Amino acid sequence: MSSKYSKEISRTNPTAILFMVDQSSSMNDNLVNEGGAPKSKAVATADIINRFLQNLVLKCAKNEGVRDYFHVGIIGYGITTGPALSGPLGGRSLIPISEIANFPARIEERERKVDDGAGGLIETKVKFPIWLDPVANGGTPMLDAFARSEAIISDWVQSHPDSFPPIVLNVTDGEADGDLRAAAQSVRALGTSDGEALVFNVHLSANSPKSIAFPHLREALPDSFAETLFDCSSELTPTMRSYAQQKGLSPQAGAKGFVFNADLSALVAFIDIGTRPSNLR
Amino acid sequence: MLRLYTASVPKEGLEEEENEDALRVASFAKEGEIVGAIADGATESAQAAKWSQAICDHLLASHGREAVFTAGLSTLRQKWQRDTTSRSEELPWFVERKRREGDYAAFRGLTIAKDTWSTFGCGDCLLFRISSGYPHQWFPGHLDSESILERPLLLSSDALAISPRLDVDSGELRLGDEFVLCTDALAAWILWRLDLGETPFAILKEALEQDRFLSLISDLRQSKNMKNDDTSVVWICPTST
Repeated sequence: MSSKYSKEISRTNPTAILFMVDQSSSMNDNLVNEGGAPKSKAVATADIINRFLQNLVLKCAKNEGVRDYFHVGIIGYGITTGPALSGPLGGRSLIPISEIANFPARIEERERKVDDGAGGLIETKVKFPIWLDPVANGGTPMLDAFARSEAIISDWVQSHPDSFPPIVLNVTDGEADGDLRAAAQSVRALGTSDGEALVFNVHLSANSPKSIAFPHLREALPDSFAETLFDCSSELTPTMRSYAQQKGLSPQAGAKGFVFNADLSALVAFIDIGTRPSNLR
Repeated sequence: MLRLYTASVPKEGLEEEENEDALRVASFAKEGEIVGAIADGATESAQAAKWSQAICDHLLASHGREAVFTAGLSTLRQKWQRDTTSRSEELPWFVERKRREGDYAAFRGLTIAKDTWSTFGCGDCLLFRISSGYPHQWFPGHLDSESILERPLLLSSDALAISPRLDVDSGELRLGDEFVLCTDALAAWILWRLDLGETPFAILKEALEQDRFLSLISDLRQSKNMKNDDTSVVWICPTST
């Protein structure tokens, strides 16, 4: 992997980040969140992805506008499978980040505590843009979602043959409805001159067993479903591993972009680390 | 006679106006002083280039005196807020958030007087004091070829932000002293080559004398010997004492 996954991200060579989000009815169950307020997996996932999009826009925003370093999309799978962004961007697959910035579904106002400059905190209202609404309805057509993702990524890599490879992040709480390995491999087989597409998977926990984050050994996993998701996941790139170490984790060489039995904080870490490609120009 | 070289190139693939480094040099004849300033705006800042320029202008207006610079920061920030905030228009949510976050930059200043020199700054813009192409000292002195790659302390435009402690140094001006101010990509390359026992200042000076700075930096970037980042240098060879 040493000479791959090193391409600089730029407006000429942007990279793509595609989320696959489980929207089955079991996503109504609460996500484990130690010490925090209960939140359904669907709400937690939507909140975290909205926050991620917000931060990505801010990272790319300059005085003259938002630089299109990234193309981002979300595929939801539940009672239906398809693009999951709400509002004006509804129905679209991979969208330049400048359009994400300019067309949220709505802007909510949320309270936030900020430093008052005198050693205290004051509450202030902050605009919180929303692109993804929580949905939890239907079964888990994960294979269909992978097929959709394969088509989207295949088109994208043909238009961007020299970009940092696209990243696909699958957020699910359930088991697939068929041979997941073949479906994931079809996406991973796509790529650019800088390497194969990256497929990362996070499984959300419904109860309290400890999460397993970025394992490098299949043997360490508790059951066959975890092993399947492990097999479907790409290795973290060196940059991602290094970033994970800075965040206090210790992924070994060969660690996969896979978290099993994730609670809220593990889901946040998964998305944070899994969306760190290489250098931004 | 004073010899001065200045050069700045943006990241490869960007236009000149997207260069977020700034540099300034001024001669104060009455005091017999030369002041140089260099700044490197943070990539995440919305107005990194303008904030870098504002810091350099303020440093020159302070005649390179750290106490004057620091005392004037509050006024600088207030002016920045006034000049960059529009009260009349409804701003897009991300513009409002970026302005609330403020803008950030690393910087370093140098003042050369008749018999002395002094420097202050924060972050990873470096000053090298050299003679005959060899470094005697660099500032901040705790940075090396590895630590310079880490996230530096930065000066914020936000009035509520805690300003990092500026590092300040000074010394006697000696015969043959030359001073090189540079931003982090060039500084990292220099430190790395020094670690290998090489003479990066000779290479750099030759490029500046022959107006080949852009060519040198392009070659270093292409060969992956230098990070692709805005790259700037101010090289001052003062009048001999």
